Amino acid sequence: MSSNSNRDTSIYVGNIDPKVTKAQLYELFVQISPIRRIRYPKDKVLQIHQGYAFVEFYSVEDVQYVLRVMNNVVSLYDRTLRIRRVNGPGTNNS
Amino acid sequence: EAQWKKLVRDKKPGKISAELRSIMNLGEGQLPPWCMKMKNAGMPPSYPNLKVAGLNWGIENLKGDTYGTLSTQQGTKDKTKY
Repeated sequence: MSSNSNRDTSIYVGNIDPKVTKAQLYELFVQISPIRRIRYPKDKVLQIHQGYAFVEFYSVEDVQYVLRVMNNVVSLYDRTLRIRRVNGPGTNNS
Repeated sequence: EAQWKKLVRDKKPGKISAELRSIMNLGEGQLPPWCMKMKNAGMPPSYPNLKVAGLNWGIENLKGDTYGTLSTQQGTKDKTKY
């Protein structure tokens, strides 16, 4: 599902309240960087968002900056967004 | 996708709608929380010309749904206000 070739230019956003819409995620992150695409999966049965999204930017520099200024900084519906690299924490090829 | 194009057209840095402000608990005329981080981190790599009220733009510009502005260098020389 999340097998794309653009992991280096993407972030994982977690702890998203299901009421948050894709448009709201766009409006939030476009404040920091232009966005290529957002994947925001829904549970197929329940048709609600699953609490996380992948936001893809245009460069690795964008990703590094977003991690620096947006992680644990913004709360939507009182839930603080957690932002991580898509590559696991074990990888250190920055 | 038409909806995506509309987002790209309508949603710009420096401006946050009442809808999003409401769910992030940010009143009109308030500086978004990441702006404090920008003090140390500098402006975003893809928005080198971003102006943020209270950082590199007059604090008096902080009003309503606006906290910043991005001037586009190519094309128009004058400040395109988002």
